[in-house]
Amino acid sequence: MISKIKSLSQKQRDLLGGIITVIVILVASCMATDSILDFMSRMVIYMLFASAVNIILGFGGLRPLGQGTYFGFTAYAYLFMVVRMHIPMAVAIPLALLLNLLLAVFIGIVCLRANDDMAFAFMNMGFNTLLWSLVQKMQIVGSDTGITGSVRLPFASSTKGNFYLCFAVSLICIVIIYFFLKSPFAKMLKGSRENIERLTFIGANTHNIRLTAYIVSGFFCGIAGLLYSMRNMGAFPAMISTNVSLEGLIMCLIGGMYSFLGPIVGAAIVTFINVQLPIITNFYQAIFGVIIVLCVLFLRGGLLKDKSTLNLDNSRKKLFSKGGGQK
Amino acid sequence: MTVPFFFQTLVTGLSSGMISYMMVAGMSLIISGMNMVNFGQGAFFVLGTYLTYTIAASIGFIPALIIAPLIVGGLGWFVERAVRPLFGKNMLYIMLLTFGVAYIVCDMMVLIWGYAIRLMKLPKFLNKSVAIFGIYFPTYYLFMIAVGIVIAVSFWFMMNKTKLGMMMRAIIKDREMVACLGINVTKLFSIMFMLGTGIAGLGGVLNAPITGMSPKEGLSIFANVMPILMIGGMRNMNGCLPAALLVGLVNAFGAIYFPQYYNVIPAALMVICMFIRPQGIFTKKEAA
Repeated sequence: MISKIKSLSQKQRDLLGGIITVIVILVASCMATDSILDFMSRMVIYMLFASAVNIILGFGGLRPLGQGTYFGFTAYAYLFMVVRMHIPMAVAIPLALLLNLLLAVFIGIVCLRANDDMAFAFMNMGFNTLLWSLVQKMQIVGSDTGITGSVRLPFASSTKGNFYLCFAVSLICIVIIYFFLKSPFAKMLKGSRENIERLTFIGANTHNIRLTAYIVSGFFCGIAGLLYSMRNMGAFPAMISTNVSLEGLIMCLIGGMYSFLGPIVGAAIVTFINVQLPIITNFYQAIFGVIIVLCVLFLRGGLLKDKSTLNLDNSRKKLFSKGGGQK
Repeated sequence: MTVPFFFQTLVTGLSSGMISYMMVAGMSLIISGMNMVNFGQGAFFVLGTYLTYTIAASIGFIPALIIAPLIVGGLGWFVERAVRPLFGKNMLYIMLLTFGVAYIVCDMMVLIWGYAIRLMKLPKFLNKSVAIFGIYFPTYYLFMIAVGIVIAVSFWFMMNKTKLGMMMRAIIKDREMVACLGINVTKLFSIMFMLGTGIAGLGGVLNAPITGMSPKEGLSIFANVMPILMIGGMRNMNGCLPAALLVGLVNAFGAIYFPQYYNVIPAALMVICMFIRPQGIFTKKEAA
């Protein structure tokens, strides 16, 4: 059995893993109670969020510390339009996504201007902090308490209906992300991760490649945020905080950021820890911290690895054993 | 705004700027010297605060000023040991590791000191107010500014006039070359990291009598001081002090004019600064 899995190509593996995940979630949802469905819809949304973050993190090789901006911003934009401005939902959803896209373009251009990895990471986080502190203080978006309202779509207003909506949208988006990551563009993106000087030398516009990837990632983060606001029936400052962004990174890290299915697995694990551990112990964050530290020190590639990355690792090891290669 | 009030606000702003300076100076040293980000800096800051509560209750405030940063710096040594195998790998790993450490430290603080926000009493000679030109200032704020200046000056002296500082500056410029010259870079890294966390701890000690802290704040406090780092320039240690003082002043005066939005100002300032000078306001252009 194991040898059979080993002989599968990466494409088949991804397909197999995806189908198993979908079936497991569907079967579990059939016999779940409402509270578990609530937890599962959160998990599904975070799966989408993590895979969106991974476009720029694992495949783009940048360190986005502020993807939570888009997650929270779309939620706030949607809630604001529906609850405060009484715009019909069918108009508000595309409008919120469009606004989010514009924000992503704007922040992407500004952040990638400095052409410095660390500056990119920090500026991302800076924008996130700016919006977070703004949202906490602005009366019009409800300051500390956030905006609440019945924003679920009419055909998916129950917990179960909303879960299936979240699940379907996330699934579609993740499939789109999968095809995006298999496109020739993603190959260039991977190239910019591995050796940006060389890619520039070949004549590719690395700046535009990174910018496009960043915008796509922000857009899908926005969709996740939109779903999350529907699930919570509200938008709260916690959704736009830097913690969300960092959680996204940690999901990718634990699951394995160089593979497609890694972030999805990571999201499931992290959500489980975040939701179930606080019931047992008060110090779940410390346990979480220990898991992060252990993962960083001993499981650097994450739980899942792509076949191509594995091959790369093995060839590097061979190089080392022969005394070559660079540190 | 009356003149005395103006000067009092000035002193408040400068003293809060000094506290942020202590956090940012350590962070900037670690970033420029080791090319890594220490997300745990906020946790170390709060740890300094909480150690002060305990130490000051038993021994006194002045010993706490020395002991607490030493303990925090010692903890920094352990973190540096954990980080060591990750040098030269993806920077993200170090970020997340220090973030994990921050999680652990924060929960340990909850375990030891609990959730209650506390305040401590100042020592008697600091708990007064002094009149300068007829305007009354709280002594403790002046004391904080003095400590900040002492730290800044000694930091400058260490970096520019001593052999240790020379080696650190050399590491910032060219790490491999320093290693080739037979200098123990690993040891220097340890010293750098301990210094960085220790200064953050000192900031925490000075902060203890002013604002009550909750242990969980260690995670979010990093985001609050990060604008200063960007305004001063990411890899520019000399920019920290002016940037921190600027942000402190803007915060203090902003709190009077826009009480609702004053804590948005630093982040907004950072974004504006990013448009004008992405390398930081106080960074001089390097000669090519």
